[in-house]
Amino acid sequence: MIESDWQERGSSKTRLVVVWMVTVVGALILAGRLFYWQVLRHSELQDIGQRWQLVDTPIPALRGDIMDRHGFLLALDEYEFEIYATPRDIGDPEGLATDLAPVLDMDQDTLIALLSRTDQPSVSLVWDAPLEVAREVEKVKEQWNTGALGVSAARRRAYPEKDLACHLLGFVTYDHEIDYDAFYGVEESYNSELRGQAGSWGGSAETLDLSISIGSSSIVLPRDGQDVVLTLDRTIQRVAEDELRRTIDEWGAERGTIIIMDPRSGAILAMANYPGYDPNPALERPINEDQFFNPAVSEAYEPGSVFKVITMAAALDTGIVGRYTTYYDQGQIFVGGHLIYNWDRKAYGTVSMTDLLGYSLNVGAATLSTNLGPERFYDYVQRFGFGQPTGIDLPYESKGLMRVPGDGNWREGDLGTNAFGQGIAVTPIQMITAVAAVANNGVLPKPHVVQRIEQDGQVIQEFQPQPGPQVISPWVAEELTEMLVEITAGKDNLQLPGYAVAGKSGTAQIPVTGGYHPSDTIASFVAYAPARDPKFVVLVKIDKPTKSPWGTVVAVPAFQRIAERLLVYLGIPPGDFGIGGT
Amino acid sequence: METDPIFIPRSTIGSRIGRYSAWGLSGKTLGLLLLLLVLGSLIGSFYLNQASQTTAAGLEITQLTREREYWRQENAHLRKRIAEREALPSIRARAEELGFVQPEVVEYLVVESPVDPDTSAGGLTPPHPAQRDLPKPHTPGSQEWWRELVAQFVSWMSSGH
Repeated sequence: MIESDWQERGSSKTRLVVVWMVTVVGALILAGRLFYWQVLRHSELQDIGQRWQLVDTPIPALRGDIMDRHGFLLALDEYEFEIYATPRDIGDPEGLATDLAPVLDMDQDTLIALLSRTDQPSVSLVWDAPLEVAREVEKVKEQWNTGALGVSAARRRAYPEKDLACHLLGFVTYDHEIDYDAFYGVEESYNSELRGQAGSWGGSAETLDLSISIGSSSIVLPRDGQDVVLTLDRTIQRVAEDELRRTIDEWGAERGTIIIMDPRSGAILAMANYPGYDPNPALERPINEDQFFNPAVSEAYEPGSVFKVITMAAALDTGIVGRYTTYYDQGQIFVGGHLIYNWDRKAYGTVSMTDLLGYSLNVGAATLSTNLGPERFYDYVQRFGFGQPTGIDLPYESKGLMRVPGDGNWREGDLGTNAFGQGIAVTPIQMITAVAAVANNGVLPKPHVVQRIEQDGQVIQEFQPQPGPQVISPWVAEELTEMLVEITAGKDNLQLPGYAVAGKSGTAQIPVTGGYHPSDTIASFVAYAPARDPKFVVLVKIDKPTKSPWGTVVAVPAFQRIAERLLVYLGIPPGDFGIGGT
Repeated sequence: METDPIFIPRSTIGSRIGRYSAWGLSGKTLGLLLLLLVLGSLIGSFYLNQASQTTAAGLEITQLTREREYWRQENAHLRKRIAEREALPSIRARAEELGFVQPEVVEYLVVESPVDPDTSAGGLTPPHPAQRDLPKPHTPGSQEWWRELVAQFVSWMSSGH
């Protein structure tokens, strides 16, 4: 009996040991796996978990405003809203569409079709809804107590003045992205100041991207962009654009540019180009990239007789001639084997320097430049800023095209033709800046379009006018001004009683392959007023007028109308009735 | 062979071994456990309190962030509406509605009073009515008031009242 007890006890004990060993082994395996996942692969699994759980949502910064000198907004950010739906979460698309269709101004059937698209995780109903519509959609969402409707805010750049100063401003394309690009104009050249810095919200979120308030989180508030205040006056800009459009229509021209500048500071008061464009974003509008370039700074042209102002300034400043010096005009002159003749093929006999400008004699200009010699002539041309960028704070500025002695393609004949503005290409901003130097006592101003940078009303940076080089003496500037006043006084289509105007017109042929176009011209006029205390200088450039090619016929009346309005707007009193028609 | 059970006197039991609870734990141990329980409860409730405050603060921050964004959107919308109303096309349209026309002929009239000499285009601001100081209304001094009162009295006396 006892022996069988012991045998039973022995087999039980064995079974117990086996069970115990299996349990131990199992526990060891479990512990080993736990150690593997929790210790050895801890970092990797934590990263995966955080990637799913932690979100980093960017908060876009609003781009800074662009304002004119009086604080009127020319460019600012606003919001537009994308309305979207998740069809799989919509139980009653017809019912929802009934409430939503009038809000979105959409056809109900079209909306039902979109809301029923359960094959799509999400459908966009409206891409660019205004604020009022977004608020109404949020009310519908609340009424239906549904998470199947979503409203996503995105920035949009708005230009309330539409096409006013479009080339000077440039534009921005947001396209509902945090990152974006700025193109042309002030938008591009001051992009880093205007852009600001996006913020972010980082923390834990559950599967519906709703934040989990406990746990680590961080909010970095966005820093909105800085505001840019221009030197532009929007009223003067509008005057310039209206007159440009009127002149182009009146004379059947193709395009044109008007620039108005304060000659003492170089501040640009207006910069108008035609044709323009509306920079407000429009998705369906076809885009012609050529229209975005600013011809006022990027496009060079042969200035024609306006350039005689520079040639005369150089001649007076070097002392080779005085105001009353005369020369004998034979109607033609050979320079470097190149025959140069007056515009009307006439000979004028004994002519004073003032009459040289008044009759716009090419022979006279070539006579001056040959007497100066190439070294002095081109030295003055470069001193007046030609052949190099003016440094205006706009992108894509052209330096023009000028051949000088030493260049492989310079010819002696260029000395003659350059003297009256042919064979040399300049930009409108270079031309007006050079004439502004004469108005500014011989000091070349630095053109600029931005006055200051602000943030929340505080001035961050102010751009003071930088005095440029003294290119001609103040006395020569005064003499030349009197000469220009005298020649302008004779113009029947420029009558500003009580005001002296100093200006020069130009009619330049347009180069084509192999020579010049037989009939197309660029008609221009550059002038400043009041001549003895100039408050503005205006350049009018009209391309290919068909009804008359002449600058004195096409461009001068535009200046007259602009000057009339500027004198009133700026409150400039008449000062010299003794001059009569000047 | 049966043996008698060991008899240990009560007093000996108490003095040598100590008092035991019904679960076989001494009072000291029990007290320690109780203390640990109380401390644990305190720490636990402190943690829960902090967690709930953090959660509430987190919810409030989320709510405030949403509210901030809401008002930024409203503000941007208002600024744009104001800018559109101030824009020259709107002003021109409104002027035309009111019957204004653009002058074609400008005539200058010479007047005697001097004009503001600051006419530099670079720093010019168009004349703004709000910037001109209005003349202060005349406030009579006390002497003047007395004189007026006396004059009124004399006038009243001389009228026979």
